[in-house]
Amino acid sequence: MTLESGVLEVLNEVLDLSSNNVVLHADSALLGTIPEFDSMSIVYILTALEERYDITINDDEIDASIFESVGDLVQFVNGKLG
Amino acid sequence: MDSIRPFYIEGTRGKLFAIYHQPPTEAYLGAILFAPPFAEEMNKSRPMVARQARAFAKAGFAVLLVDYYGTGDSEGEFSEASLDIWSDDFDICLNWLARKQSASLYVWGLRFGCLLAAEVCQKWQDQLKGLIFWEPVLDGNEIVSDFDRLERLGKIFGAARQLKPESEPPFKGMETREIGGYEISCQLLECIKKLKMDSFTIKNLTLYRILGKSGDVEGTNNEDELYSRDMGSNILRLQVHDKRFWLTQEITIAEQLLEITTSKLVAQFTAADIQ
Repeated sequence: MTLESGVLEVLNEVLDLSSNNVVLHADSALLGTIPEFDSMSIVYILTALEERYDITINDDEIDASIFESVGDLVQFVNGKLG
Repeated sequence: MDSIRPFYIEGTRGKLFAIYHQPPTEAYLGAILFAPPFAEEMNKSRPMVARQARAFAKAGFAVLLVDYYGTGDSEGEFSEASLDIWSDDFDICLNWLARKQSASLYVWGLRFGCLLAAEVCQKWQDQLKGLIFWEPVLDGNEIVSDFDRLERLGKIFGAARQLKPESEPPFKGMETREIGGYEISCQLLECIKKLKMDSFTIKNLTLYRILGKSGDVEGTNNEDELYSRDMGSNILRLQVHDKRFWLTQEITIAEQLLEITTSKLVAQFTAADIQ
């Protein structure tokens, strides 16, 4: 499974968008576009990514830019893995 | 017929809202007290917990659901809640249930509730027939880290800052933090931080890990090592691929988990002698 599909899986699970017929892609915008993408879901998304990829995300690494689109989030996780 | 009765239990600091599920008398197998999570995780879990309670009751178990002091429909403010109050109240509820239905007493917990239950149940070891944990939090620090993170995200995004305009000041000397719309006492967070599952004696536990509907979790996973290490005696570990309903943005129901949890518990009675 590619990193992108893994991140999409986490997003789809936490946001549970399937019931609203929303499908996320790599270039899908997140913050400010998807109403379900709020602080609480971001906490769960970060925790799920940490668990899944065995990474630690420090709070000072978190800013709005990594949540602008799916691609931004994938890039951020990729940076943590590298 | 099974029946559902809402009522109040007198807790240490105020009345606790409770719902008692009475099984059909002819089918009685045992009694179960639920240990809930709190804050957003409880909000997301209510429909799932209600469904499981009904399923247990139909299968022959009395089920007691209680809101912690300062949460749900129980008395008190969330900002006044402390771990001591919640633990003492949980003990009171266990006593209530044990008096009502003494045979085959179980505690069923979800997330934080499992940690609290593990602590309180230390002195109930002899009376308890078993524990049922759904995705237990193993280290209270995890919960506090999530709150810290939420607080930081709230600041970054300027969201979730809905302080009640004229909120009552909390108890004197009790500091609180406003996180994600919850006014939470620092003392409660400090006490939760110290709760560690591996410091408790656990026995006769059925532990459910809920791995998400979408399936395989890749790579190494520290948490899985934690879950698989020796936690106590007679522990049955089960993994279920179903919705992680306490964290999904929309309210979701994990149907498979309901079925498995109910059937595994009933099987303890029908196949008790086989083991």
